[in-house]
Amino acid sequence: MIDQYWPFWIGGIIIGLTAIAITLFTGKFLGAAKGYMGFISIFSKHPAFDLEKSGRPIWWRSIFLIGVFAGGFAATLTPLSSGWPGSFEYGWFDKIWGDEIGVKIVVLVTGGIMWGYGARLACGCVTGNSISAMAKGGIGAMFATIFFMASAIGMTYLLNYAAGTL
Amino acid sequence: MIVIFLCGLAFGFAITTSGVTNYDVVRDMFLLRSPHLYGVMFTALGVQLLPNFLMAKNPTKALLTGETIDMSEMKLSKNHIYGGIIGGTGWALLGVCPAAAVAQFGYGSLAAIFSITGVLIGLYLFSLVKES
Repeated sequence: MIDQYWPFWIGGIIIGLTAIAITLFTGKFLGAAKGYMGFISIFSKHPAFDLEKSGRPIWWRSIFLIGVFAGGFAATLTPLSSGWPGSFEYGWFDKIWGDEIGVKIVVLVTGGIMWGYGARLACGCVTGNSISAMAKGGIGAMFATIFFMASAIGMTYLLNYAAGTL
Repeated sequence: MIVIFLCGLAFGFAITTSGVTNYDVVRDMFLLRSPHLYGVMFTALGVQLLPNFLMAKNPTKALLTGETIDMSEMKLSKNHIYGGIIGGTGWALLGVCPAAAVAQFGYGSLAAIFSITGVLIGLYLFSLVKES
């Protein structure tokens, strides 16, 4: 299945270069979680999302995320894709959890909440910590990455073991 | 602004075409069955090493804002570890990280709508908890 995808080094080089470009242009380091927070700030009056007060504008991070959305859409033009929009089907997820939509909503929203909360706690998600901050030698980012990985590996084994899909 | 959008576009395109947004590819990574995504990640890190090294040596001004790029790093705290464990569990449940969920949605995978909703709630929840 993986051979359908581009060789790892092409994606890796593009990802690395965009991270560098973002730093060179904005002076800040790439992170996706803050892009989400930029969107929340549109609707929330909560002080944590008050961009004026925090003195660290994050709107451009949301522009980046809109770009990421467009990039995913652009990839539908490649031979990989079966067209837009696809469906609620979700590969092995459907074999592990069953393909009932209610279960999918509960599991994905719960997982998303854990991701959102964990990313705030760890000062960044995979983009912020593992791709961006770790590349400038951040020890905190390195530990966050190690624990993201270890926890995800352990949980994935557990899930597939419990579901009998190993 | 257009530059930032284009960077996002390249990023989203690259993670989609390398399989970062595919649940099955990510599952193979976490079951240690394929080195593919580890390759993507380490290549992305490797590409940045030299530029970051140079920027750390010679203070550089950002092209858009003119401010000097801050190369200092946050110190390790317990929260990096707790956050790592909680976030990693979320990663195993979603199969994607927050950025990849957005690209997934762009690619037409509708399940990503639930993942994105969850991430937004989680980020907001953290601020509420921190407040009280």
